[in-house]
Amino acid sequence: MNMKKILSLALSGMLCLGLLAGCSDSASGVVNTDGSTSMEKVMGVLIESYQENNPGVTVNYNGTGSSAGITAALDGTADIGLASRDLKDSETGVTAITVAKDGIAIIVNPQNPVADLSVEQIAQIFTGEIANWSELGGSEGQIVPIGREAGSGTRDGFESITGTEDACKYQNELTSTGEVIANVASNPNAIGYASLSAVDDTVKAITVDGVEATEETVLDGSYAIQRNFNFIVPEEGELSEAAQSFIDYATSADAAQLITDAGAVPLA
Amino acid sequence: MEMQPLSGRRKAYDLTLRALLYLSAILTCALLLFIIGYIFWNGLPHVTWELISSKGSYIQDTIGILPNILNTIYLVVVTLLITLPLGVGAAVYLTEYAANRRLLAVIEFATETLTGIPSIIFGLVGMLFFCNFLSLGRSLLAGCLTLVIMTIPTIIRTTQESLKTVPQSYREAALGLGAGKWHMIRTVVLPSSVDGIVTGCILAVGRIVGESAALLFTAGMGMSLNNFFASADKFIHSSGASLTVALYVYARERAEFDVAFAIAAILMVLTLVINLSAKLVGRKLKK
Repeated sequence: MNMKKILSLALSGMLCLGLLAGCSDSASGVVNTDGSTSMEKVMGVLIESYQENNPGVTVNYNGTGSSAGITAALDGTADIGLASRDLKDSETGVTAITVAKDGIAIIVNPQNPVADLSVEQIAQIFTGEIANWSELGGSEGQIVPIGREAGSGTRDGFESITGTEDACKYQNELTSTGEVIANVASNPNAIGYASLSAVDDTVKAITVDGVEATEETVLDGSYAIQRNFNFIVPEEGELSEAAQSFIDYATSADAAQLITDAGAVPLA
Repeated sequence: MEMQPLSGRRKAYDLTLRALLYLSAILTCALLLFIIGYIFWNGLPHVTWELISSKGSYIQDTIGILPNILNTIYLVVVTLLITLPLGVGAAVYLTEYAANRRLLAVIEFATETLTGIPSIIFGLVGMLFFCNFLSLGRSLLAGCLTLVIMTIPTIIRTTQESLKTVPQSYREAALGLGAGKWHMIRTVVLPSSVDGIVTGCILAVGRIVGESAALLFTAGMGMSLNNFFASADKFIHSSGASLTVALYVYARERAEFDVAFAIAAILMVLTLVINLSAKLVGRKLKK
């Protein structure tokens, strides 16, 4: 008797599952986005306000890194890839839609007295030519350069602007924006780079060539270290209705204020 | 014969070994208590009703893990629904029907090996097969299917073990009374081994709740609230972070260690409940 119950339960469960499988052909109300961890805050606010207006659609964000995001858009694991850098020539089959610009803040521990560095000095720090904070007018202490993993869009942007591609000597390569900030916040001799949108008061963003990273300086280009936030979509094949409507929303004037609130610079 | 007292050297040797054994026991216990205490000390104060009953908001700058709790439940339920009939079926076949001893040995060896494979390999295979090849994308369903592969060996093993403990005379009696083979299995063998099946289930649930690497690859890190009952479609397509994956996201990517510890504390309590219930159910059903 008991066995029958269990059996029928299991069977009805399987039937339910069959029902689920049947649904998969209808228009999907789900948009999975995948990529840059720098874009977390921007995506967070965009997704939230989009879903308020479109309760039928679920948008998800996966923070895997820019290169992983581009791959995900290509092989279809995600509907929209997110990259905090522009596409390379070798990355074909996808197109980039720029949603915002973002400064890459150079961050140090709040206890560090150094407040301004030139782009050249920053490059020298990260390539190991300048190894002690005392050389820069700071207090005695070995500089600990902290960077991102090889697939990171922030790293790509930082290294290409400072001209330090493949020349950086990191003490630590971390896999997310939040981790870099947490590490710099806990080490008085550390220096790192992170999306301006993610920088909080646990770390100090220094000025670069005397220019503070703000919305205006990023937009007019006077803050040198900056890059684009891009949506990556496949060139071939139609986007789902929900994905297209999310992209339209993210690039619309309505979203501009949200992007600003998240610390990035909208283009619309 | 007269009892010789132990020589000084042997006494010292004995004492040292005993002290070392005590020390290792104390160290092990202390380590365990330290970890449990550390997690609860850091985590429990941050477990608030708001945290476990809401979904996080970037605009209001709040954090909630309700979506992750629900995702974990979905993963457990759907995975069990698939893995249970498959696993029990396979176990019944292997113990009751299979006649080829060599084949049987190969299958048993394979399931045993499968239990020992690091979960990240299941994740990689799940990602390439379910997400890419079957184009399910990063979704809860892909996560469930990967978990099915991971938990099937556990279910098969525990069911098999308890099927083997059913006395042969039960089977002979049932067959002797004229019952068919399937009828015999359904009415005699399975009911008397239900404790093993339930224990296997609970162990599987423990594995699912504790899994992170495989889910990171296949189910992704979605933080949206999924209402399984309102829309099955979303369950299939939406990526969703379980509690363990959320722990990873909050600790590594967002550097919110308070939330990470809170989730850790919740997971510890869950594991404790699962293990206790496994013991209890096993004991109760055995009677």
